[in-house]
Amino acid sequence: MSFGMGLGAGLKALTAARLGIQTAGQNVANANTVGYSRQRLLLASSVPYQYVGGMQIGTGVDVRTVQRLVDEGLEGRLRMQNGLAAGAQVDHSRWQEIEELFAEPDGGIGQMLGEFFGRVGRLQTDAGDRALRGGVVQAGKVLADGFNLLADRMGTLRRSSFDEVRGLVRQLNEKGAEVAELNLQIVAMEASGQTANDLRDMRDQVVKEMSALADVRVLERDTGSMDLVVAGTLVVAGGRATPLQVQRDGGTTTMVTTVDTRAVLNFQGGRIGALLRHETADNPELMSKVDGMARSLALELNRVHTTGVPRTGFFTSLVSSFAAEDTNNNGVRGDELLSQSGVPFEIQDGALYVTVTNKTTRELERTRIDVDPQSMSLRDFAAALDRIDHLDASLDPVGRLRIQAEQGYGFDFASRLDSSPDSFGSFGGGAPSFATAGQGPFAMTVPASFSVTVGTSTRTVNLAATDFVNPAAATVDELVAAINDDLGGDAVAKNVAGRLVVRANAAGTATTMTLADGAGGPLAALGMATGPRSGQSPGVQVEVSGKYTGSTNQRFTFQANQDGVIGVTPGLTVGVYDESGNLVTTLEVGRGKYSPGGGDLLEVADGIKVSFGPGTISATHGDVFAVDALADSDSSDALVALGLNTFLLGNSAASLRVNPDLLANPDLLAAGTIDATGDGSNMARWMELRGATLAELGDTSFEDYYGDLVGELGFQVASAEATMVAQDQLHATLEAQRQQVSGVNLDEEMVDLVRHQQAFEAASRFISMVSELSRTLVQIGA
Amino acid sequence: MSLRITQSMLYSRSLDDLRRSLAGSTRLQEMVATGRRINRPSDDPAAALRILPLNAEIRDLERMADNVALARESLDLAAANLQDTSSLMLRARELTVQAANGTMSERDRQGLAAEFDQLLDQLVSLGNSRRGDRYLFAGTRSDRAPFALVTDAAGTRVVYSGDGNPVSLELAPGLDSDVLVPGDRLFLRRERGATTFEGDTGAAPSGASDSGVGFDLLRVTFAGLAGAPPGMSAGSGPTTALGALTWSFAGGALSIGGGPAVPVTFPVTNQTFTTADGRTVSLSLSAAPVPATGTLTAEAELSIDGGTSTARVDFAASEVQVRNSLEGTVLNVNVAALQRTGTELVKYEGTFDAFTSLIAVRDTLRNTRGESQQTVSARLTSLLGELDAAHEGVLGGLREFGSRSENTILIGSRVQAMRDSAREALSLTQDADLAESIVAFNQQQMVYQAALGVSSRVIQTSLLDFLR
Repeated sequence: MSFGMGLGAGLKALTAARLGIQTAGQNVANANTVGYSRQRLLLASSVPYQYVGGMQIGTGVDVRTVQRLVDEGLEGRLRMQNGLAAGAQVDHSRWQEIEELFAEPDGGIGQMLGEFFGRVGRLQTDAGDRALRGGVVQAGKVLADGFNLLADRMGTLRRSSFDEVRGLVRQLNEKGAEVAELNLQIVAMEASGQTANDLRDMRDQVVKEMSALADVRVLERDTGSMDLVVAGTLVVAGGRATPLQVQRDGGTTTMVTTVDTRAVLNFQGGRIGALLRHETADNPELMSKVDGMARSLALELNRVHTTGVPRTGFFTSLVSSFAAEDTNNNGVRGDELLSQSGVPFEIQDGALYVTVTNKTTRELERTRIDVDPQSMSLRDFAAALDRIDHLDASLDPVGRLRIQAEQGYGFDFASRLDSSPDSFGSFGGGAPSFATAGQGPFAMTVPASFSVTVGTSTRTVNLAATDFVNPAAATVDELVAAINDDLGGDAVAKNVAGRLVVRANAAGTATTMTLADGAGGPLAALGMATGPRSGQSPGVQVEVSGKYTGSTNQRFTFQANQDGVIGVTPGLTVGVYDESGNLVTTLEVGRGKYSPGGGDLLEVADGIKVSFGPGTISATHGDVFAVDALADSDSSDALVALGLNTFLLGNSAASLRVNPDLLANPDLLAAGTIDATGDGSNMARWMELRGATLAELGDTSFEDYYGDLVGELGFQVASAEATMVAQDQLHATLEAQRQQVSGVNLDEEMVDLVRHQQAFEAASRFISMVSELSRTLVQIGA
Repeated sequence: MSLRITQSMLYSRSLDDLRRSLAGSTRLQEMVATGRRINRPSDDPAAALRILPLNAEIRDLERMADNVALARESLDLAAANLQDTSSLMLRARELTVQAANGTMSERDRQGLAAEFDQLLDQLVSLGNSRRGDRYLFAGTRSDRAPFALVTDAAGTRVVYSGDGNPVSLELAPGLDSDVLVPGDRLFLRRERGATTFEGDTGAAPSGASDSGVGFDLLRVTFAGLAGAPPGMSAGSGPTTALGALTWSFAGGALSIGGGPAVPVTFPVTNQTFTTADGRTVSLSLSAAPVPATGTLTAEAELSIDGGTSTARVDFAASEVQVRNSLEGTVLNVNVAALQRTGTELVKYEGTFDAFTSLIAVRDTLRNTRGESQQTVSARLTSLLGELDAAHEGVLGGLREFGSRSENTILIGSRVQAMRDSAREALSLTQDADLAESIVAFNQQQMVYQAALGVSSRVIQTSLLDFLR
């Protein structure tokens, strides 16, 4: 051993202790630095000196390196957890915001809906009250406003994702560039054999921050550089970072792409991922449910409202709120098929019943329009309405359907009963009439003829092959058209309940009518009597009252079973048949059974009652009349779709609003189905709707559907919160684990300081000892 | 290796714990402040699912409780009106009893008739009672007065212009109750019985179904001759005989219907002949009838609407239907024994309601047919029965309203009980137990303070404190 060597070892020890103190100092200094990893001085004893005899003598301590204490696996897990926790936080805050928007259980749509139906129920108690009517309309407005507000705020929330994502992507770009820069520095430093502990710490921290924004995968290179794959796209490769940009796809969906290749990034995690998921999935899915409810509400409420009668009585004119667009661009509005005309609600294959009432005589004429959206255009529909007597219908220049009644007439679409169903007079009417015994079609032999004599005037009716599509199955309508062509003004033919009726135009006992069969025997084929038959004065008055309670549209046909005078002829009866020809009931109107003209009511079926006036009826001449009993006077939904007399306009949460006409004049609220101001039967239908299960809402009622929606939202928020708490906890656990490995414990560092201090003192002592030894030796030599 | 705990771990742990503890306190504070356990659906989604329907149910039940109050108000008002009607009917009965007393003079009776006019007007106004501006007894046509008196050739009658739809209220879940019955069912009762004729024309009820109400006056008038020999025609003098009449001309004297032979010189103008049973026939003859004997028919016309419309009698058929063109009703008359012109008082048994019986008494008092005191008294006495029946009808309505009102009270208390239990259920679901919440809050506060204390200690201490 040489003294020099001893001094060298001492120096090394001093250096090691000093570095140890410095490291501890660095650790203490960075105890609160985010992302800092604890550093540790790694010492090793120096290569020993070979002494004589094979002994090895140590030469002191070597400082190997300053080690950074990091568990790389843990760091990876922590990065992932970082993303999950940040995503869960965004998720929770979004759901919480949505929950606030719904404002349940108080003050939300649920309450508005309840309030609306409550108002309807109150109006039902006094349908004539204008204040209560106004209450229903206003409650409807509040409800519609509630939907509008919700849709608006949900839309705003959804759109806010764009701005937020843009901000976050900017951060992502900055951090990506930072990582690339750090990569360059680290590679350069480590290539020269240095340790880049602090740079690595910084890089880890930046990557960690990035992983909170998006799903980031890390690829470590041997050179020490770190590549980052963000949302499946390589964004940082060594020293090069690819910037990202944000744009709106179709004005609604936020899209993140790379600036250079325009590749679309598909974010799964982190805050950006959560925001995008909210924008494209959670929010629209929830809104589509709210929209579905708004749509169903408009459809169902309008179905009832369109078939009601307002306080102001029957309509004299109506304009549709739907305006036809020229969707096929041929310059003509309304010539597209109804199924392709862009109406806000689907028009079904069904029937619409239009009733035209003479305001003076209160006589009404009901017409059935068969609506087939696959073969009918809006123009066809208008034409069908226009064909109805005393009604004008057309499309105006902006494509809206206008219906107008002649002066003195009113129209409606209600399912009310025709109180005088035999205004034509085919059931013992004042004028003589003949009817076929059964319903068409009939097997006719053509050409055929028969004569009709009214009084002294005779006319011959000719039936030709051209009058029929198939003479062997001649329909009543074809017969009616063919006969009316030849009858002139003496008589008229009509289809009554599927039977052909020929009736004289003059009434009274002096009018006699006779039919006579000619070539081809058409009367025999039709099963018509030939007469003569005289009229009577006055004719039998038939009145129908009550409310139809059946569930399907029904036509009751009444026919005389015998010939006789009502209330006089013993055993006289009237048979009532339903649409399929089944006997419903037999009404006793004979001697001692019925007092005609006294208003006595006979029960028919399903709430319908009938009363007869005095007079003669005849089975021989096929006396018959029919009563249309309607459960749904518009099974086609044409009125709802076109917006004729609707309560609500619009078909989504955002577009829902109360018909402005009703807001201006609550009298237009169709509370009844007849033109009596006290009739609240349409409100009763609304109330029934309240509890009804609706197929379009998955067989639930409005309130149940909404309740489920709110409940689901509650579960969603609760589960988002639970997820957030769990992810945070996991994050905290991992962070704690990281702290265990990489964190600075001040006590430890203190101990280290003391230890290194003592080592320094000891090393100094060693040096001074070696120095003393050498001085001793020098003295010996002197 | 034992667990390394670092200072920043301590800090973040303490901070987390404090934060959690504070969040718990905040939640409890909100509960105490709002009094509710559930302030948003996520507080307890399962309970939130129950809250919305419960809220709706309570609102419904409150509305129904309002309906019950409304129903009771209407029912009580209607009952009060019927009570007044009942008093009015009693007054009418009193007056009728007085009038039936034979000692009353014609003048007094006319005076009484005027009083009955007033009673009728009162009755109509009772039928037109209103609550607010709604007519109580008009069905759903509640914006116009349902009853009106109409006087025309056919007499006085009351016309109902309301409808037959009852006003129905939802009094309890699933219970729609007809609160107000339409006035026609209340004031116009029909339990039709037989039709009776009072008169000497020989016309009789036919047994076919008639539809008149109360009294009708059947006028039987002469309508010319049929089957008379040439030269013989109806004179302008009074003809009371109807139906088949024989004539015989012998020795310059003419006998009609087996009556005394009257010597005549031709031409005969408007000469009245008398039959064996005292009926008269006014004839004009230009010459002696050929053949000398034969049978002619004195045609007849019937009317029950004061002559507005008539029905000619076909003596070959035994039955004639007479229509009241003003009211739309019919009367079937057996004319087999019809032999004399005149009037028949037709009574439709069982059709007397308050209106028709008052009208009948008044018309009897007016005595437009000029009947004797005894007849009028007898008829008034018989009308007492009709008045009583009509009164009974009113009382029946009154009883019905009474029991309905009582029933409504029961329903009302049930609805209130249901509402209370729904409120309780809601309270149980969404309200916070204040005592429990406050205790929990205090507990949380204690925990929070303890956590603060402990944290501050742990964070403060370090080896540094002891290294000197």
